[in-house]
Amino acid sequence: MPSSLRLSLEVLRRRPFFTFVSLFGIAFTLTTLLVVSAMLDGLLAPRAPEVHMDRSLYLNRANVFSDNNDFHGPPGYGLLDEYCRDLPGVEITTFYSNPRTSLAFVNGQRVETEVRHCDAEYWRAFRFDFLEGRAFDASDVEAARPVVVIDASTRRAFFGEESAIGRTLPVGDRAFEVIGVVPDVDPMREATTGNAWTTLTTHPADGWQTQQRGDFSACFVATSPAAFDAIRAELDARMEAWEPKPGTLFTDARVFPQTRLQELAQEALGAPRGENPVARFAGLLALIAFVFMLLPAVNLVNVNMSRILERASEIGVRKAFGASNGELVRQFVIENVVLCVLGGLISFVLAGFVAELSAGAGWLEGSRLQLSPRVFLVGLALSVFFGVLSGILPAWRMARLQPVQALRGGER
Amino acid sequence: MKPATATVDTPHPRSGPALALGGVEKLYRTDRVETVALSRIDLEIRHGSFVSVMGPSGSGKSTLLHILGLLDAPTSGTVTIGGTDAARLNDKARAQLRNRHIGFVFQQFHLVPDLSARDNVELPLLYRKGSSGERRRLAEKALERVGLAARMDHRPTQMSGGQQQRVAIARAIVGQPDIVLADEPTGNLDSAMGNEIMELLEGLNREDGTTIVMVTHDAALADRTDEVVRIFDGRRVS
Repeated sequence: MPSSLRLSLEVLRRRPFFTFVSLFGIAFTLTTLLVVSAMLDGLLAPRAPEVHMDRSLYLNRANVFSDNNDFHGPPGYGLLDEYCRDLPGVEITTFYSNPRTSLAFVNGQRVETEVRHCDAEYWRAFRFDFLEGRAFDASDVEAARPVVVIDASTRRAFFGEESAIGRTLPVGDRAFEVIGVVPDVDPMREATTGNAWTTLTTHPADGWQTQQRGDFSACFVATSPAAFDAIRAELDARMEAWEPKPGTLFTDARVFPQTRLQELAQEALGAPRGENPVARFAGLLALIAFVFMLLPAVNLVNVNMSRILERASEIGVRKAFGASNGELVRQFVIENVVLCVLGGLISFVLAGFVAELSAGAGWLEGSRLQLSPRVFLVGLALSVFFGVLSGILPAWRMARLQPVQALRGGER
Repeated sequence: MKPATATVDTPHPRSGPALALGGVEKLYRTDRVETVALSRIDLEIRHGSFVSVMGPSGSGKSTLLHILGLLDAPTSGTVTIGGTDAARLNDKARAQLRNRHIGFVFQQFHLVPDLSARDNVELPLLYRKGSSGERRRLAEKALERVGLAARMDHRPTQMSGGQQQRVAIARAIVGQPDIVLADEPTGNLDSAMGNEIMELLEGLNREDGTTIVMVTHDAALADRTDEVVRIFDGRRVS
């Protein structure tokens, strides 16, 4: 083990109270940041079923204008079908309705099922691990077959622990045949959350096929994120050519395909549609994280000053025997980074507990915080940053002392 | 002007003095008071000599030693070590020069409490190139030389004052410096222990030709050195 690392661990061991206080502060701060990172990761990382999230644009909102009113909300299938197919740079296009609640009573118990109507491409754009059965395909959609894929919770609610394949699920006033079962979906996954997925063509609304505004969304899986600009440009061009439909009051329409990060930023900042607030959002997050870390860092700087002052004589000795200022700064920063990385590891364990607790208590309505390797790396990077931030100033101030001042205990 | 980096890896030339001070002054200034710690000190110390520095408390003898060892900077005047003008050196070069050519022994021992005797002795070698095995071998050899072969893994708090000072001497000599500067090395020890330490320093001077400058209050110890420099109120009086 390198001597600087060995000395760092030894120093921490010899000053248990200081170590405890410092670790507590670091671990608390980093746990909070890790939980926030895990939530962001849960929202934004490509993870089943939304495995292509990093190269997907989502179209959840449209502006449809009339002489008297501007409608801002989900587009209708008609708008998507007419203007949003066969875009350049798009590998998979899928249209699906937003979840709509279907009520049923099973053994006297009220059961709510969130139902989506999807095209067959939905199962390509999003990857579900089937627990049993299969997805519906294009022929099922074309024939408007009343078939449904359900999640594990719905299977349990309706059919207990038995297989659900071939059984009948009531949706609205119709009966659907269960053909597949998938695991429950994280409610933070906006495009896939739901309990039941049935064929697009069984949508119950009148005239859903031609609606400009409605309850639909689209997902465009691009060949790569580099294609996003071209896709947006093409959609803009197509919307410029939007034609009023006979028998409706609408005079114009606009759509705003966005990445999930853009959607999140938009919602967080309340930015107008069509703006790209991601940089502002990222800057705001970084600022919040920085300020959040700054307070304990300032505290740690103070604790470090007194800790280093305690070791002034050691600094004097090291200088006397040939340590340069740079080498001393490095030693003290390494010690602090070791401390902070230990704090980081503790915070990772604590964040794991928080994740378990939140799953148990249902704080996130069924969503699970997952501490992925990405979150772990974020935690590690934060620990090192924290260590350097709070270690470098006291180390530098101490290293600048004349050796004799340090030997006398740090007095100037 | 930024001081130039001088290389200090080359052996010191033995022709000139090992250490020299030219018109060195040291003033301590506060808002109201200016205290003269050293006033126009000229001093040359030959290679291989054993010099003691005597004077009453507060006369400036420790300050003199600190300036000789580049632990403190003079307010004015020149400090030359093995022919190198210290004013020309930046922080890194000074650190390197101390590391290669000077070993220190302090009255308060100044051992690092978190480290074993062996690790304390290894400390100067950490700032040189060399494997950990080599460092360990040299540290053990130095500890054997001061009679502490059996105490290598002890911490400073587990040792007597005399043993701690012997560890400090082992640390001072482990890098085979040309010069050892000792600031009242026997000041915290009883006379028997002080005598043992003095014998160690004498052996070092006699057998290795190490130049030794020792600050002391003890006239009997000073009498055993080649030359006595006397300081009074910051001035050299002999």
